[in-house]
Amino acid sequence: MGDEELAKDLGLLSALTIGIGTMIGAGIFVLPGVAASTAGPVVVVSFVIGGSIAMVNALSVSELGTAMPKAGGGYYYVNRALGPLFGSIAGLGDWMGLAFASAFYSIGFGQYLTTLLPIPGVLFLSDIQVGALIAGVVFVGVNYIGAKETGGLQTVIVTVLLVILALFAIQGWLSFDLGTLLSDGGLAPLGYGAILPGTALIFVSFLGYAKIATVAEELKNPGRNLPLAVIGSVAIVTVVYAVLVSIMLGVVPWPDLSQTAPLTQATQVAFPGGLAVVAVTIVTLGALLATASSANASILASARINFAMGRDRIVTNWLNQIHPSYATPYRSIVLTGGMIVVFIALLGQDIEVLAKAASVLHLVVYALMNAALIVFRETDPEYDPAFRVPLYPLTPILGMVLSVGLLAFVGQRELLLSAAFVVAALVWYFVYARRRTDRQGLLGRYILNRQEKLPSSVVDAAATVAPDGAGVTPPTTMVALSNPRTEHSLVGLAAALAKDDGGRLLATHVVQVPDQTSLAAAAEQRKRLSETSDQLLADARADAEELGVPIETRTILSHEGLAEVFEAARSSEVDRLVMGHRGTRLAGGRAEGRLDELIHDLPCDVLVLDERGFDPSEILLPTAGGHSSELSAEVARALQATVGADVSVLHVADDPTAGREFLEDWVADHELDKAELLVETGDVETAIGNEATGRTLVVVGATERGLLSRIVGGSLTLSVLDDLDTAVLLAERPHTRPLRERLLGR
Amino acid sequence: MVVLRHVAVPIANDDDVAETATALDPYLDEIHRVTGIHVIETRPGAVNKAPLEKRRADAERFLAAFESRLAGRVGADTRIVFGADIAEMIAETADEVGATAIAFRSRGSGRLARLLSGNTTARLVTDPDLPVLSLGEGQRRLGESAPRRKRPDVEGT
Repeated sequence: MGDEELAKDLGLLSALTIGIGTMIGAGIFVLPGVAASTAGPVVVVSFVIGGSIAMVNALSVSELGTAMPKAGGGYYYVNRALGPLFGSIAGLGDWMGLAFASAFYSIGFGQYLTTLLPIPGVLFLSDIQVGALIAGVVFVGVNYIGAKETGGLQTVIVTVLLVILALFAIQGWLSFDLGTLLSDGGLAPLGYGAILPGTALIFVSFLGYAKIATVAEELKNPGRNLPLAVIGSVAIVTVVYAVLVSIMLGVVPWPDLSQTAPLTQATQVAFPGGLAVVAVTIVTLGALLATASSANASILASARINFAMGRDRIVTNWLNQIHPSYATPYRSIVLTGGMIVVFIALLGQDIEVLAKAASVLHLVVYALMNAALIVFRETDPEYDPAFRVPLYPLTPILGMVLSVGLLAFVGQRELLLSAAFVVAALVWYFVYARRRTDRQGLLGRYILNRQEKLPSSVVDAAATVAPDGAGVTPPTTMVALSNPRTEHSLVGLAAALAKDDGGRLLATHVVQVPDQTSLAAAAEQRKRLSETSDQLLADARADAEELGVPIETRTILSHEGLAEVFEAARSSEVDRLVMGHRGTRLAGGRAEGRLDELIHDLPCDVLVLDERGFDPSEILLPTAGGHSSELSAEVARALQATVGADVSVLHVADDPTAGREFLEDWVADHELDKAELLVETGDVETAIGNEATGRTLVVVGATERGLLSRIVGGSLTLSVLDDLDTAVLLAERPHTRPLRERLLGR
Repeated sequence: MVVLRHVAVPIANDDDVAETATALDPYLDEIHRVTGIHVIETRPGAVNKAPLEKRRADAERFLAAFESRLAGRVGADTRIVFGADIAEMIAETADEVGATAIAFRSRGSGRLARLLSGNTTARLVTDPDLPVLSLGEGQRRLGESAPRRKRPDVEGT
């Protein structure tokens, strides 16, 4: 296999430029005008406070990111620590937050684009919205196709931006006038109470640092580079914001600062005559570049979050399919792109709504992330981050308090929006994700493991929200494979059954080693053996995945084929075992010696398919009632439900009327409502032989104990089954299995 | 034919497995060894276009499928490599495993995609270090009696 280290090619500079490039677009180019009008010149303090809140969170992100350099960032940590309930909130929040942020960046792009080109408004959309929609569609398209991009490009973009901003800063400083800054009502014309609402508005300018954590798996030496990039980008950006916004407000009085293209306006004022035109064009191009790179990074990050959520089955993994030609997660990108377009079209009139919605959702995620950090530190003995936040537990608690505290200043509309979102995420968890995910959080496990010591209300709450899959193993269908030729049939049958009960597959390859070979010697030949085995199991995996059933695989080396299969079935507590038989061989091996003992003590329901293949389209189910016909009825019902099998039930009786009555009762008892009923008189074997013709599968329940033993013992007298062209599936349910176990569905 | 002794076969995705294996089928009697190669395209220094873990898991799956399709007929092996330039990585890996030729199914791509991402086929066949065999659709052998091509159809793409 290829060198995985090769794939980690984001160095410190690249990571730093991802952070800076994502953040710088918003704070300088888009928001100063809007922010200044809500707070006056003290808005500079709003930026500094925003940077400080971001910094506290950046410390926590750095610790979590170095402990788990995984795709998905915040969602991943929260889901691990706090479980899928909070994981759903964090994942969906991060995702929606990024979509809102991308819509916001696109609007910013549109604002500057309209200063360059005249764009018409269309229908209810303003010219800015039309420009933003064009931009949004292009950003999504570029990520759909996955255009070539190298680290050089991002570094160049960020360097160019910093140079442009530096030039503006120098020229702006020359025309800076304290009188202009204080002209209209001093530093805080709207009162110091406007500072925090200002922070809530501009916090969107700091959303870039966490993107570095969403691509942590691609970083070189994440233990060092991640904290440096995350903390460094927040520090740099905070300084840049504070300096540049101060200068802007010293060039253009705050009430006059443009709401849509503030930096262009300030440039125009700051640069002298002839130079102004060139400078404005350069700044405008810089603004387009900055907002585009922010949107681009956000769209990329959202696909990482989808991937991490899909892996935990909080959203469908269908979303994460890779495009066959472009090798991009195109479905995720299109869905996120669709949300961006909708947000631009419906909410783009007011950039404040988009900015705050993005901030609110991210703040919720940050608060959860800090809680996750505490849970990791307190409950996970294996938690070992390369970077640790200073002043634990003060830092994460402060991060939580600040994140939640800032929510209080965003305004009622956005707060309602975030409440509605949390409710929607909870509904999503309980309706969709809870049945599918099986990953319980550290916190839930911690609480449930300490039931005696903790108040019962806490324990009850933890148990109530735990995912359905946690603790309870799903029903398992084991399939014993031996022959590549029959693999497909056996896995097809087993997967259909597993799908019906929402369970999973355990595919085993039992390699029977001759007695004279020691198991140690066999292990040495393992390479050769494992090649065959890997292939067989890889096929099984591919088949099961195609059918959408989770699968585990295992290879067993053994002297005693069948005994080992049964032993594995017993120790894995499987619910049914599917295997093939050929002549007198079961599961690829001849069961010798302990045969009777074995056969009379089945570990679970056993289904044996002969080698004529598995085609369940037309099933014949002969029944005379009795114990194992329950199992054959179950199998037929499952195949009806999952692969749309046509089932015909056959009963042979002396009296046709009594026979039909029996059959109607039997079918009703076994809930086989859509089956065709066949009643025959005369010889059982002939009747089966006649009816089997033209059908594809005969399912036979063992009438009395020992149908299986008669196959392997070679004394099967139902010779008709051997003469059929139709495949035969034998089903036997163990007699000894206590009713209680069966009810509990062990 | 000595040129087919050890053939490096790039596999791009799930669909490519069956197509390539079918196309390769007529030549399997002459081939001793096949190495299936999947290149995961990376963007050095920039965020990759898809999560790498996902790409790797997918690649493992379809390379295993490819390997098992050939198993028992020729010696088969697989490689996953990472690199920015797909054509270059295929050539490099083929060289590394000691392949005597590269055989592949050309996959059409649109003009826009070609412009943006370069066309792997074109770059693979331009000035190659190893003989390059561009496979036709091949013949699906339904029964043993189906006719079999003896010679590589170099022109068919």
